Amino acid sequence: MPIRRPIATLAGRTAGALSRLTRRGGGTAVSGLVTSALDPGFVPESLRQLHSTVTITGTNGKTTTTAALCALARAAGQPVLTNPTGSNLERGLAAALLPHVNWTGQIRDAPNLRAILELDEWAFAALAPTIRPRVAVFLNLFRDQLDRYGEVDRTAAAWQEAIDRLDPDATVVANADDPAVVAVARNHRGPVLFFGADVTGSSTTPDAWADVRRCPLCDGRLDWNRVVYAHLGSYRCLCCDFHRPKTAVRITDFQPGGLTGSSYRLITPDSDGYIQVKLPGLYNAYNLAAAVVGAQAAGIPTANAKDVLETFQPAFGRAETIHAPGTTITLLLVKNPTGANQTLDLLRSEPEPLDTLVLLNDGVADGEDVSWIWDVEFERLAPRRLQVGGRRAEDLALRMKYAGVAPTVDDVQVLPGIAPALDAAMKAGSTDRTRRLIVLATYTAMLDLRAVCTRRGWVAPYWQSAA
Amino acid sequence: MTASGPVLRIAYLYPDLMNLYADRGNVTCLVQRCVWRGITPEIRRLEWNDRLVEAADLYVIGGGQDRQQQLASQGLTTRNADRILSDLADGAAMLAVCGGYQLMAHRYRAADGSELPGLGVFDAETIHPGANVPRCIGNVVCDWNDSRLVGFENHGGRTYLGTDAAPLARVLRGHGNNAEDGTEGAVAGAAIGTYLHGSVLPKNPHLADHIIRTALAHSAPEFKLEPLHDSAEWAAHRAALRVAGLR
Repeated sequence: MPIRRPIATLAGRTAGALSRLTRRGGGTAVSGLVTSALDPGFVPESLRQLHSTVTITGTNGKTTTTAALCALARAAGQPVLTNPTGSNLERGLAAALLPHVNWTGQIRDAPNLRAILELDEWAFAALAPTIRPRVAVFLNLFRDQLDRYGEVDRTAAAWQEAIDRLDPDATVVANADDPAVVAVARNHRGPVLFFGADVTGSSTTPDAWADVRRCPLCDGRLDWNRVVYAHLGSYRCLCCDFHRPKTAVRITDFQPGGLTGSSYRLITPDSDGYIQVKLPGLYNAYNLAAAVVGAQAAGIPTANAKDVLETFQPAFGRAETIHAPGTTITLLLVKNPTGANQTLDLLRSEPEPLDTLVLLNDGVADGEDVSWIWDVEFERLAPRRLQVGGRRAEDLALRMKYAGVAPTVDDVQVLPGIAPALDAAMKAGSTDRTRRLIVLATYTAMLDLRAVCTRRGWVAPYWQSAA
Repeated sequence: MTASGPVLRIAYLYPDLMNLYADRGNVTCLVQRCVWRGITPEIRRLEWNDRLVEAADLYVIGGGQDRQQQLASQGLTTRNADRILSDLADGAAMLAVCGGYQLMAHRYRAADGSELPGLGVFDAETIHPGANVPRCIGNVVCDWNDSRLVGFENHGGRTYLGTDAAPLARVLRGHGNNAEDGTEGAVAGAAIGTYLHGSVLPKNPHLADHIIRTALAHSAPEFKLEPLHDSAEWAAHRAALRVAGLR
């Protein structure tokens, strides 16, 4: 043990406690930031004491997949260490480890404890060689906060380097429907298990905002016999032998159920049956399929997966229901074109137009570049009433004008704050008997909105909801 | 809103390859502002294998990643150079953004040292100083004629203008062409190149109308652009100024 470890962990714990005391947050980031800054070996050396580590990375669905994998492990009676609040940089891992570590840096019951961790795309690339996951799950690769992550091809290249350095007996779990993911996952020296969706897409060309159109290996034309959404689907290259690989776990017969759930058939090597889940949308079906393959790869029994998944609740801010007096709020995190367009499809599957509040912030965690809203097809949004808010509310209002969402732009109320926008949206429908309000929010706007709801006593803080 | 006005032929170059930062928002904006004035926009989307046959009044191209830019460079220089250059010589307009702007200059030297030929519309060249040199990323405000342009930039390459090129604008906040000489973008005839990506036109309605006006000067010189009710556009413009620390 490095001499600095007790100092680093004590400093981290103190910082976290101060953060909670001063109500600045859950202390999830700051305690880990302090510890890993003082002691860079803390995260990898702590994780190496454990039974094994499972990592989950990808652009969309990390928090949900991680939570589902944890639920499967816990249901099988296996103790889990995780970072449930979406804090997915090294500091987030350090913060998740801190409560388990004693002053000498030892983790209680370490040989029985399994780490199931979500990792930011670049954090995975940086950390995987030192934390040496036993199972590495890759969900998808979409354009997201390009000002922070850079080009999608660069992220794929970073993943490739990390995959090349994985242990040969580690298992890679990857989305068969994403050519960008398959192109890197297939090079792993050890076992690779794929999951995918056998569902009929409406199109055979990728969406306008898709990031893959040509073969990632040879730049030849990719031929899709179906596109599920974005660039996900069933494809083959017309110039080389690159094609969608065979799946170990697949989804078929998908039935959307609006915002409150969905049902489908989930076929795995040792089970085949219909499940009805509380998570909406095909994108969540991918997440749950990934969790099941990830569990199987990690040796977690999945015999009772159906029961676990059917009772599994959405993670905070991911189609989360918040009960406010007189109004039921559905809070949906949107942070990039693919996720946002999937969410708009969900709203369209609702029987009636809904009151909708859209919140756009431009913090570092949201992406300072708000251009991406022009890749979101707000043309598909048909709200009953529309309110926009957040630090870049004016950009949203302008986007709505060009999307033709409101008859005239004067019908879109612009309120830059979060609480005032929420109040206005709730007041607008206050005469209705049963009220529903849909809130689409970028990451920091979602946290801000939850903080407003927490102060008003409508919902628990996120670090408690996630625990 | 009768479509009694002229037709505007827009050639949208390689939307499948060059739409990295939602540059298609510019096309959405141009189309709407034409339709609101009774102008009929006719959009031709150019795919990678396509050869442009018919003339256009306005060319639009967005930004792309290095690999896609390579393909676009091939498509432009081997299949479509004559059509585009002769239309521009006739007075057709162009909006080339980010990677598209780089391809409309003489050449782009990528981070790995490889060189992509451009069409030479602008007397300029772009050099990527290498993957380890920080990119030019952030909000931009610049002086353009007697007004301002706002936007966001995110580019590794540094563009240097030659003696025959005029800059589009002067940088007040941000990096612009190369983070050295205070220039942003380039102008050659009715062609405009800029690093302001994504949704540059919606929140710069004066630039959008300038482009429509110069494109129409080519096809329907007698047609006058009516002003539009642009309060939402200017509100977003002011919000971008505020974010960049300017009023």
